[in-house]
Amino acid sequence: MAKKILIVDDSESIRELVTFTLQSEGYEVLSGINGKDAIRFLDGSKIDLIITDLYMPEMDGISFIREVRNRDAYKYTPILFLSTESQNEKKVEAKQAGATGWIVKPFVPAKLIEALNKVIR
Amino acid sequence: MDQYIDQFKEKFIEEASDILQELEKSLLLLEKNPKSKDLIDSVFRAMHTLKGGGAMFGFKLVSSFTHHFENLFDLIRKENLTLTSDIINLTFDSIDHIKILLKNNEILDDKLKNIHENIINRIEEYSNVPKKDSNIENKIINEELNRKKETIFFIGFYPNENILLNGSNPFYLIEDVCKLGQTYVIGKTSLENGYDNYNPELCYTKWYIILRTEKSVTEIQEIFLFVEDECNLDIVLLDNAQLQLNNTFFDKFKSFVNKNDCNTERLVEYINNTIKDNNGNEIIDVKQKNENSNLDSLSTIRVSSAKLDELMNVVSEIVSIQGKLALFAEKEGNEKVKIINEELEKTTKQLRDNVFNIRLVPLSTILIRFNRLIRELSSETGKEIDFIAEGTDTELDKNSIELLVDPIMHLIRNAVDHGIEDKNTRLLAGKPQKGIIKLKAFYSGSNVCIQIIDDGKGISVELIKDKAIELGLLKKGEKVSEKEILDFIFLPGFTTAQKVSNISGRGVGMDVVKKKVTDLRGDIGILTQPGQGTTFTLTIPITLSIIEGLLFSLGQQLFILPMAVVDKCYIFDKELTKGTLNNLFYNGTKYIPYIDLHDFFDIKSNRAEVQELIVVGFDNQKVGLVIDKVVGGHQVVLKPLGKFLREQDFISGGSILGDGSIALVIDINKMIRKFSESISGSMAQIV
Amino acid sequence: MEINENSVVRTVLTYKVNDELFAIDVINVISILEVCPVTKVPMAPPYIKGLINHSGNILPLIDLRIRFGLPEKNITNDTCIIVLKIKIDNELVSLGVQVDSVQDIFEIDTQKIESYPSVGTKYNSKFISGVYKTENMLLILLDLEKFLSNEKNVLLQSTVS
Repeated sequence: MAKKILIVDDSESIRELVTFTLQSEGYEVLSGINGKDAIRFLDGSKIDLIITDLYMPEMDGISFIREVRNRDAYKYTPILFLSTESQNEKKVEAKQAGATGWIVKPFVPAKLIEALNKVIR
Repeated sequence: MDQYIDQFKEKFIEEASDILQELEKSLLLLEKNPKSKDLIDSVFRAMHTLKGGGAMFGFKLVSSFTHHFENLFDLIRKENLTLTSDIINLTFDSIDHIKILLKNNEILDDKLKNIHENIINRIEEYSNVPKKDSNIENKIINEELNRKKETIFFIGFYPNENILLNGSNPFYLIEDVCKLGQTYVIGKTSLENGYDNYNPELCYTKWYIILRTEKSVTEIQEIFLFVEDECNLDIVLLDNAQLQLNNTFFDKFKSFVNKNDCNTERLVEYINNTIKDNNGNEIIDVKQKNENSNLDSLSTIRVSSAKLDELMNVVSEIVSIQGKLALFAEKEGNEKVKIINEELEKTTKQLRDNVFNIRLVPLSTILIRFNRLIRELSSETGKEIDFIAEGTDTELDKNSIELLVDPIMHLIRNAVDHGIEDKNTRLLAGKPQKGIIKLKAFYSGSNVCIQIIDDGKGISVELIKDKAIELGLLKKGEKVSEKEILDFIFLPGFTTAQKVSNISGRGVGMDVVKKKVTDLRGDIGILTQPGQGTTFTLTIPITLSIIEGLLFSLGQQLFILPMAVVDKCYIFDKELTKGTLNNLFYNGTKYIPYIDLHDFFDIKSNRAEVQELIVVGFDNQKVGLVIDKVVGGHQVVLKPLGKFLREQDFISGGSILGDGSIALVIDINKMIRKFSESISGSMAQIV
Repeated sequence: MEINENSVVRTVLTYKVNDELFAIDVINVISILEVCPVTKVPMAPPYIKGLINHSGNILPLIDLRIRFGLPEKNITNDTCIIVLKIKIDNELVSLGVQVDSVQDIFEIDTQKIESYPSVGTKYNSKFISGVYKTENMLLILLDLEKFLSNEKNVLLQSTVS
C-alpha cells in the first residue's frame, strides 16, 4: 500500500502543488485547509507523514502539532512544518510542540522530497 | 522544473485575488474595530500567504512587497506597534498595487515603479524591516575540509532520551551518514536503571561512527539538522594518517567500546593512539594514498599475480572441502563435529574475504592516466576541460581494471572530441567556458558502475538514424526506440563524424569498447540529452570467484543465485498472481513481475506441488523467479564453464556441492535484461 | 610394427564412434572415465550433454556422436568419457568427450601415416590429419582441435560419386 501523507495549509495553491508533487512520487495525499479541519484525519488510521503550515485560521500549526502528539496513534508520526527563514523562534516553538523537522518556504518540489526523505523511507 | 510550477501559477493568481478580496473586507471591519485581535491576525495571515505563495509561484516582487506588510502586522499583533488609520490606508493602497502586479506579471513601468517605491518608503517609516536572515552559519571546523580530499572522522552521536518522541528515527540518520562514505558504526545501549525502569518510548543508545569520506563536515551536520536540539553531536577529524578500516581494527575498537566507559575524547584518543603506535601489538597498516607517495615504502609489497591466483585456488579448495565437511556434519549428526565445522566455516569466510581484498584494487590507481589524457587532449583541441573523479575508491579486480583502461580512455577521447563544444559555442549556449568531464564509479547490487559524463552537446539521435538509414541498417519510417538507435554506435565502422580527426572519428572505437566490456560480462549504456551532455555507463559484474549463494532446485537440478541480488523469498501462491500478459505477483505491497524458470529454461521434469518465488533486485527493479524449492545458503566457489559454454547468456558458472554434484550459477543481469526486453515498456509502469 | 632409428613414434589412444576407429595423441588425454553423472545446462547446444565433475573441475561433456551428426545412441557398458586437454583458438581447454568405446593404446610410426583423400570420402578431410593402416585395422587421425574449434564444423560429408 502506498504511504499516506497529510498536508495542512490554508493556501489552496500550496496544497495543490504539494499534493501533485507527492502523488507523482507515489504517495497517497490527504489535505486539510487548517488545523481544525485536519483533525478529522486523525482517526487512528495510519498516516506516514504530516506536513503543516504554521499560520492558519481556526487552528494554527503549532496547536495542530500539539493535537497530533496528544493522540497515541500519532505520537511518533513524523511532522514537518513549513517555515520561512525569518522565523527562527517559531522553529523552536514548533519543535517544542513536537515537530520533527521543517521545510523552508519557498521551496521547489525537489526540496520537498529531500526533506521528506529525511523522515520517511 | 519551471513548467511544472507554471500550472500552479494560475491557481495562485486566482487564490491571490480571493485573498485580496477578503483582505479588503477585513480592513474595512478593522477600521471600525482597530483593536480586534482576530482581524489583525487575519490581515497578517493574508500577507503571509501572499508572501509565501508569491515566492513559490514566481512572483518575486509580490513576495518582497508583502513581506514588508507581514512584518508590519506582525509588530501590530505583538502590540509593538499601534494600528493607525494611516497604516490602514497604506494597506489599501498596497492591495491595489498587488492586484496590478499580479495582472501585469510584475512588469513595472516607470509609473508603477514609483508607486512601488513610494509605498515601501512609507512602510519603512513604521518599521525597521529586518534584513533578510542569512542562512544559518555552518560551523566549519577546518577550511581545508571543503576541498575534495579523503578524511576520517569520528562522529559521536548522543541522542537525548526523548528523541523518538517527535518522530525522529536515529537509524535514518545513521543510514544517511553511511551513504557519505565508508563507515563503521557501533551502538552502545545503557540501561542505567535496569530493565524494570525501561521505557520503550525513550532512546537509551548512543552511536559511535567512524567515517571515511570525501565529503565535508557541513554535509555531515546537514544530516542531523532536524535533531540539532535533540542530541549532542561531536564530529572530530581524526589524525590525518589514513587509518586502515579493516576487521582487525574494528574488532579491537569494538572490544574497547564494550569494556570501557566512553565519551568522544576518550575514543578519539584511543583511535589516534592506535594509528600512531608503531611498536608493540597494536600495529595497524597505514596506507599512503597520495599519488606522489613512494610505492616502495614498508607499508605495501608487490605480489605477482600468479602467486595470487595460486593462493586463490588454494582458498577455493579449502572452501570446497569445508562444504564437504558441512555436509558430513549434517548427515552424521555429531554435535562436536558440527561445532568444529561452524568454527571452520567462519574462519574460512574470513580467509576468503581477506584474500579477495588483496586482488581488489581501487579505481584511483588508473586515474592518473586519465588525468594526463585530458591534459593532452585539452591542449590538442584547445578546449578547456575540468576533469572530476568521484568514487575512485570503488574497487575492482586488478585484471578487470586493466582491461577497462582502454575503453574508458576511448570514451573520454570521444567526450572531448565530439562532446564538449569549443569555448565560444559553449558561451553562446550559456554554459561555462570550461567543459566538464566526470568519471563516476559506484557499486550497484553485485556490479560496479563506471560512468563517463560530459556536459557537452549530446549525441544527435537524428544524425545516427540518418546514418543508419544511409548504411541500410534501418528502413525509413521503421519504428525504432531511442535506445536501439543509440546502439548503432557500437557497430564496427559506424561513425557520423564529418571528418576524421587524429583523436577519433575513424569509427574504430565504440565496437571495440563494447567488446572489451562484454568480455568482462559487462554492459554499456548511453544516456544523452541534446545540448546538455552525454553519459556512458559501464556496468561490470563483480567477478568474485567465491560468493555467498542461495541454492534452490528446479526439477532434479540445482541452481544458485548470488545472495547479493536476493531480496525475499515467498511461497508462490497462484492466487496472488494477476493473469495478465506479464506475469505479476502481489507481495502485499506492490506488484512484481516474475519469470517462471521452469518455462524459461525449458526444464522437462515435473514441478513441485507447492512452488516458491525468489524476488531479486536488479537495477532498482524487482523481479520474481518462480522455482521449486529453496534449499539454503551455500558458499559458492564459482567455476567457469569453459569455452564451449561461455557464449550462453544465463549461466555465469557452476559450483561443486559437498556431495560432488554441480549447481549452476545464474547470471541475473543477463536473464532479466532479456526478460525485460521481451516485455518492453510495461514493466516500467508497474514496479 | 617395425621400429627403426628413422621412425618417429606417436603414442595414440584409440576410440570408436559408430564402429569407426579414431585416434588421439595420448599427450592430450588426461583420463578415461566410465559414464558419470551429468548436470544438464539449460538452453545449451544439443551436442553438449552437460557438465561433469572431474577432480573438482567442472568440464563440459560433448557427445561426439551428436557432434559428428550421427543419431544419439543409448549408453552401453562400453560407453566412455575421455577427458582431454586440447588447444582451441590458442586456449588450452579441458573437456570430456563421450565415445562409444575406448580401445587400446598404440604406437604408430609417423612415417607410415597416409593422407586422407578430400573427395569421395565419408569425412571432411579438413579435420582428418591422416590415416594409419595396419593388418587388421584402419585408424583415422581426427584433428579434434580443429574440428571442435567451431560449432559450425561438419564432419560428415555427403559423398558424391
